[in-house]
Amino acid sequence: MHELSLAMDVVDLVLGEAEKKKVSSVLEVEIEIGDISGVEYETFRTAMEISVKGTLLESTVLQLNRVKGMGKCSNCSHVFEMEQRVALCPLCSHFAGKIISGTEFRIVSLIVE
Amino acid sequence: MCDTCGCGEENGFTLHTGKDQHTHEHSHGDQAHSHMHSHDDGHTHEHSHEHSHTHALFTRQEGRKIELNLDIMSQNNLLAQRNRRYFEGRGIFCLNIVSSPGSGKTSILEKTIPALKDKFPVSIIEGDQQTQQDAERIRKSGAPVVQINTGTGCHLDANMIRSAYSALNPGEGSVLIIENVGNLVCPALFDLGEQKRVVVISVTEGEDKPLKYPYMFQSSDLCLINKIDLLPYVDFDIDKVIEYAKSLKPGLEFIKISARTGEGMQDWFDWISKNRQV
Ligand SMILES: Nc1nc2c(ncn2[C@@H]2O[C@H](COP(=O)(O)OP(=O)(O)OP(=O)(O)O)[C@@H](O)[C@H]2O)c(=O)[nH]1
Ligand SMILES: [Mg+2]
Ligand SMILES: [Zn+2]
Ligand SMILES: [Zn+2]
Ligand SMILES: [Zn+2]
Ligand SMILES: [Zn+2]
Ligand SMILES: [Zn+2]
Ligand SMILES: [Zn+2]
Repeated sequence: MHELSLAMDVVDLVLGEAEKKKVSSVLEVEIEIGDISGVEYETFRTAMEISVKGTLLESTVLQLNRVKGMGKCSNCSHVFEMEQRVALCPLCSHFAGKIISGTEFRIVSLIVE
Repeated sequence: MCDTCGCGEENGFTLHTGKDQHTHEHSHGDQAHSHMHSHDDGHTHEHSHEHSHTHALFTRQEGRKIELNLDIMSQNNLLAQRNRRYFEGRGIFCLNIVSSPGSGKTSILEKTIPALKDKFPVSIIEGDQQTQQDAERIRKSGAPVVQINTGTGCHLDANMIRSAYSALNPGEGSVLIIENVGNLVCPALFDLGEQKRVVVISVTEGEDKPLKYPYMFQSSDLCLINKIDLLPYVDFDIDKVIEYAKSLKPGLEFIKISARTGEGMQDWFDWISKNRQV
């Protein structure tokens, strides 16, 4: 499961920022995960719980925001929800539209003190 | 930089002090989606995505918010970029071979090494969750090899590759081939710093593989269609696979091979030699 190595990256990134900013504690981490980012939401949540054990982030609140996969048909311009990075347009069955959202995987913000 | 609240870039990220009531805009990276969300102090942002969320931020008395907007994959991407520069600096041609388990990656390498190693040095990095068997097979065919066991990990990452080539120390002008963990999902997400990515599909698999694992095909440069010696016995429409894969990635190249009989293998060797020089 790549979610575990990514969760450990997140812990490193956040601790790195905390050190750079010389904050005493990180109260909350806000992360955005797109539904078609390739990172599985529930698995990642569990992986985060494992990864923060024994670190300064052990009691940090994890706010995970899901972003729906949305695409725009390059034929008829219809905007529709994508369950995969490639999907048929439900209106005109045209294949391979443009992804508008859902590939995000990023740390949006921290709340620190 | 926001004039009202003084939030602005500092070391590449935005600091919001959140002390006042005002509205301003910022967007997440390159995505064109948009939404509004508000902070408890009444400071509202327009974000560009499709759903709305409220940051449970200043509900606590203490705490200040640091907006990072940091792509988590950037850790790996940065290391991959470093690997790529290392390879380029030494004229090393690095390939990353990905496929489902059992498509024939190791078999292809067993035939490729003896055919190429007199023309230029070839070394191999073997990714596998548990075993050393593939590395043993490679060693027998005469190439230096480093095995990376990923354990529960489902993919190789750029950091593992760096340790592996540090141990292998591939020579100037050599070819370095990485056999990734047999898995069509996760390895697609991790750039290793390779110059070319090669996806292998065998004719015993479903021809809808490209549609099921689109990102793997989109991110590859060459598709090897292996086990064509079995075509008379299986119901596999090669033209259909190529059509599906091309709909995902118009520029994708294809070579039909059999690692068993050697059919088509010369085209693959030529592809390596040609791309190595570019
Ligand atoms: N008939 C036929 N069998 C093949 C061919 N290439 C590989 N095989 C067989 O397919 C099986 C798997 O081959 P491997 O080379 O181990 O496949 P792999 O992709 O390295 O497998 P993993 O490392 O486990 O993902 C073996 O039994 C091979 O003998 C081929 O061209 N034709
Ligand atoms: Mg193998
Ligand atoms: Zn994975
Ligand atoms: Zn359409
Ligand atoms: Zn502001
Ligand atoms: Zn905000
Ligand atoms: Zn947001
Ligand atoms: Zn959001």
